Amino acid sequence: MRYTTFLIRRFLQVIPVLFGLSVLIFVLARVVPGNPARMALGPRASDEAVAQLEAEMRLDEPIWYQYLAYLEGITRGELGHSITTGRDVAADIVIFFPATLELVILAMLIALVLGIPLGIISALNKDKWEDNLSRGIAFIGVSMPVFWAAILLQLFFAFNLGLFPSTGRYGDIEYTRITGMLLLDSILTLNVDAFRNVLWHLWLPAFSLSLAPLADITRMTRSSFIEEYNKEYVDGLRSHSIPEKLLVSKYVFKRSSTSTLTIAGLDFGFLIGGAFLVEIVFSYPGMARYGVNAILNNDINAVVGVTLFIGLVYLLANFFVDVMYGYLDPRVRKQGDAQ
Amino acid sequence: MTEGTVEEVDPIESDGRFDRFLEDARRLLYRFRQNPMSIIGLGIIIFFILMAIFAPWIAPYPGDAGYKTTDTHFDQRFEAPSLDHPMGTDQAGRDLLSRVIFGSRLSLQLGLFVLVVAMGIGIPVGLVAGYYGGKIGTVLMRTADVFLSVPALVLALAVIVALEPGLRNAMIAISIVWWPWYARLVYGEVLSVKEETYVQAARGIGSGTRRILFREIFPNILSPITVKFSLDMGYAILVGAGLGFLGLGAQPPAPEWGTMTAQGRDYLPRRWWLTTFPGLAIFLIVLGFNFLGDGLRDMFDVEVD
Repeated sequence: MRYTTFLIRRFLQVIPVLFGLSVLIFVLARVVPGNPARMALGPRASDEAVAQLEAEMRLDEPIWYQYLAYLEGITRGELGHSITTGRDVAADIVIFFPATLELVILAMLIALVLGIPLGIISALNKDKWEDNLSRGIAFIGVSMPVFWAAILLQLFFAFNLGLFPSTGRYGDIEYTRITGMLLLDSILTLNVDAFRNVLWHLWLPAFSLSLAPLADITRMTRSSFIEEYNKEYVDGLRSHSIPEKLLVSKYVFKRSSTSTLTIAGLDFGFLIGGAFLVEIVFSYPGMARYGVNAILNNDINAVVGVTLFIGLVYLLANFFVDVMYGYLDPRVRKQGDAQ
Repeated sequence: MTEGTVEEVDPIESDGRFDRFLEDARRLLYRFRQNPMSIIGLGIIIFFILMAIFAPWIAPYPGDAGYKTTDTHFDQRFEAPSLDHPMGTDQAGRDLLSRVIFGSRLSLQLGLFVLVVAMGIGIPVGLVAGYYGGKIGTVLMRTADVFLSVPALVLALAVIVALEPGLRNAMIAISIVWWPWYARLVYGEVLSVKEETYVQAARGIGSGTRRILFREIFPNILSPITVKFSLDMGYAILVGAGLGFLGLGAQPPAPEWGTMTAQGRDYLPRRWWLTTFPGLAIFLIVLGFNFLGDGLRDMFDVEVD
């Protein structure tokens, strides 16, 4: 199958899932027992306010009509207004999401940069102490509750040693907002102070968030590397006196990297979930913290918006991973054919 | 009556089966023991299970760890770990050790509930989707994909908004999020075994679909399910603790580990024990299930994502 056909076909698979997700979230928002408008506004709201919200949510119309109205809003990028603050939910997401994205990307980078070498060292020294050590670290990484790891790091590095700030996203600095991802913005504006300040704040949250994916990536790299390393073509190349280093870096690593990529894609969702916990610990002003506050305030519009948006991001991330996968390994495109 | 039944059993055939079973079990047990981590994992889990069962007798101050109401001793607030209170006391002067001990009940209960419900929905869905395939299979598996399209914790959060914070609703929310993993696992396994000779043989002698699914296919895909069960107990407990930490799971004063960690966070950095010990308990129990799951994976020699 040609690569473009593969791309199109894979993209078309995203649509039904996205449609299903919109139905699922709509159902969740409407199965609230009793009157959803009353529920959202709380017992002290006036009858007029409830009636107004009912009209806004079109509660007097049939349920399928309500769904269509809601779907039509989404396609125009309208997620409604927050019930507690009255602000536009889509605008709020635009403000808060870049902070979370920045955190998640940095955590993913840490996990990849540490996890791949650890996995390879582990594989090359199978069953020796290096291997046992890195497997031990991996077990600890996946078993730690992310909020607990965050608190321990915060206690030790921020409160005890004072090496890093304990909360927040940036200190007393000037910065220009372009993308909302402050590291990127400070690079774009060549603002070295801001870059260092933001990175300094980001370090602890990103590291605590990266522990579980780091463990996953180490384990996956190790097992796929061992599998690849034991294949016959490796012996073949070795018999042609290809240096071991070249053999590992050029052949084995490249072929085993597809499974690392898959696990990284899966972990992306985990990172977003984990961000909900880490942002709370470090009072980091991202979308996760926004989402948690929305939930605690029963702010249905904001919750629906955040969940839908995260679903969309997650789907796109997995789509992107598959696209890279199909590029790296043409056999994947073939499998698409068989289905 | 009884004599008749006895005669119907072929003694040689049944003896042979039993021997084979014993031999299989012995071989599995040997492989299990080969992996020291699985023994440690099993040890940790047994430790927590015993702790949960005997909590009222082990805990030095059981009254401090009630679910709805607890004793309070405000004259003993924030005592650092000591012989009287090995894990210190909390903001209401309650013994932290007793609360951590009782917390094992809530976490194990949550993990078990979630997985029993998730398997109860996911396994039949996967069996049906994999066996029939076609349109039914596509619809079922696409539905599962929808649930998997949002990170577990985030979807569980959205479900809780529709319900209301609390331990029971947290368990329901996580179950709703969890079943698609089993559907997907079983679906894949069924696809790989459904053309096996023994399934065709069963079909050939005219067995009904239900019999083929539950008596022929299901027992043969039990090992990956067992491995996943063990690993997922850890993950489900983590998610449950995460919900508790966000204030959306068990409500205070229930001694749930995540909830306790969140409450202790208000008193950082001075009262470090309030967050450290409940978190340590979560870490250890999850580590135990991961060790065990890994050992089981080696033992059954299966791949589970």
